[in-house]
Amino acid sequence: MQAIKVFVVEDDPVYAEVLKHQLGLNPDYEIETFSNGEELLNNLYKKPSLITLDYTLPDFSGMQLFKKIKEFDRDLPVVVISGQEDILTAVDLLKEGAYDYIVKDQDTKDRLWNVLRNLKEKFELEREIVDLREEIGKKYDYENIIKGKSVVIRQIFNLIEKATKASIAVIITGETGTGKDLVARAIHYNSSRRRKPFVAVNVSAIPNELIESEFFGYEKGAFTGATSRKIGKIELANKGTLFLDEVADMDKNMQAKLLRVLQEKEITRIGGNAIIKTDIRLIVATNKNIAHEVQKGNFREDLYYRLLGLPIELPPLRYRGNDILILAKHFVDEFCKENQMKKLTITPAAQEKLMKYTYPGNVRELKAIMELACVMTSDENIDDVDISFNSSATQADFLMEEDTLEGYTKKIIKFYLQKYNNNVLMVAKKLDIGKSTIYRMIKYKEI
Amino acid sequence: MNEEVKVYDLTMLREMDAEDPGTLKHILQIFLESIPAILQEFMLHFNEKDYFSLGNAAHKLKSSLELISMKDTAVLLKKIELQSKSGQNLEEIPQMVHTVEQTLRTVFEQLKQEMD
Repeated sequence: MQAIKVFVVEDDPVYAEVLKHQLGLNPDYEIETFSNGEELLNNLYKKPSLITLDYTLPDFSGMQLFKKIKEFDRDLPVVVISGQEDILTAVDLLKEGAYDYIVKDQDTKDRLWNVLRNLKEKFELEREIVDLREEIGKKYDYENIIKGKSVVIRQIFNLIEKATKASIAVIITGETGTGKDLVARAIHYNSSRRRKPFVAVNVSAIPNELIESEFFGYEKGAFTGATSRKIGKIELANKGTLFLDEVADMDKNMQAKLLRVLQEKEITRIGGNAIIKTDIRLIVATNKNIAHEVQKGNFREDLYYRLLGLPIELPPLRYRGNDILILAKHFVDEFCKENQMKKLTITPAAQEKLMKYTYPGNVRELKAIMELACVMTSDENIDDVDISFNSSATQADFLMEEDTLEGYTKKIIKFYLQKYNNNVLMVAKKLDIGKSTIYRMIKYKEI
Repeated sequence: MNEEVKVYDLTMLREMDAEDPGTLKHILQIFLESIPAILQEFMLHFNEKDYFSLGNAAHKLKSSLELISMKDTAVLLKKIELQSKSGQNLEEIPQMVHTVEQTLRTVFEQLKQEMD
């Protein structure tokens, strides 16, 4: 680990030397001393990890110099060391953001060592967080997490890449189980905000009476039960990404408050007065059609327009053709690895069965089906008998709506075209119809 | 000079020396190089009746003296600092300054002997 650079500001040369000696006993600390404020300010560019500041200096008062240091770097920890036990000064300094206040006495060394030990732990934790974020970033390399080679999924990769380049709002739509959360994470961990937090909130999972405190946080004593300060999700996501899943289910009062946050870029905790500046990138997801929700009066039009950034519509699995098999193989391999099982192969009969199903639960459902198949098989092959679907979902969803025979024919051909990446020859063969019939329908925009 | 009449105590510096030999000598050297100069400054401000600067010099002397456990002198310096800066009981200051000066001059001599 890199040495912790400590700047000691002390006009008493003897005391400065003693501090330098005491801190220097630990090889992790690199000490530099300054006898006045001016000298310190001229050396701040060296980026110390900590400053110990004598409160009484010849050229600056402790508070003046403290404020100048904070102007240079708001996050630089400053420990004030004073010859006087002045509680009011200590409280003022701590309120202004001093890391600690230590009185010069025989315990100074031990206190300072404690401060430095805590600080070292803090630096190590910060380093760990950065490393973990890097790891997560690799994990969310979108081509690693979103499996598939179909045309529709390649278009999605293209959109994700565009979304990573700018902090534009993103609205992800798609049926349940299509991977909206994964796409949101992939965008965040591949964007310039990847080192900052990704905060995901499932709006429909939070009761209306709690949603405001979840989003804005509260101060101690703001209401009965608020025994300590709570930082809200918006503040937690500062400089990072806030992902609101099921956003169409948000209560209308909360919609108005969210709109205000997006416009003014600041929040106030419940029961607090301090205005907190926020800089968040918003990604929202829903499986509802928000435009319809606006028409029905369930969603504010002004918020809808605010959220309308880059739309990413995730295709249902049934429209992703061969991706079904790629994903099925991936889930089988993953399951075998996690459970220390031998590698399993999916037989052609099983593959055919998988390709015929409509997957109303999409990728999530396919994963469950394949995991069950891994458990059900008695040899090294997953056969069609090992694959079982939820019987209520075995028919294509378009059969649920009443239509004419001609209407059904068009829907079936359209469904197959999407499933087989608009490969007309393949669809004609699968449905046992002439390819010219399909070409004609395309030409006259019947499908 | 007899050990009993010493007004300082080097225990803390000796502990540091045990951790890192040579520290005691090094710190005493810095003490003897810098504190007489600060005392001179202190006396100058006193003679010029520049009480604010006298208070600052008293403050500066205090922490070094605490390192060698000169508690009584440190208390006296604290009083000088407070009274000089507040302008209260200024008539008490000459006696206190005189005591500090005499004590420190004795300490400088004793420390020089320690060094030898």
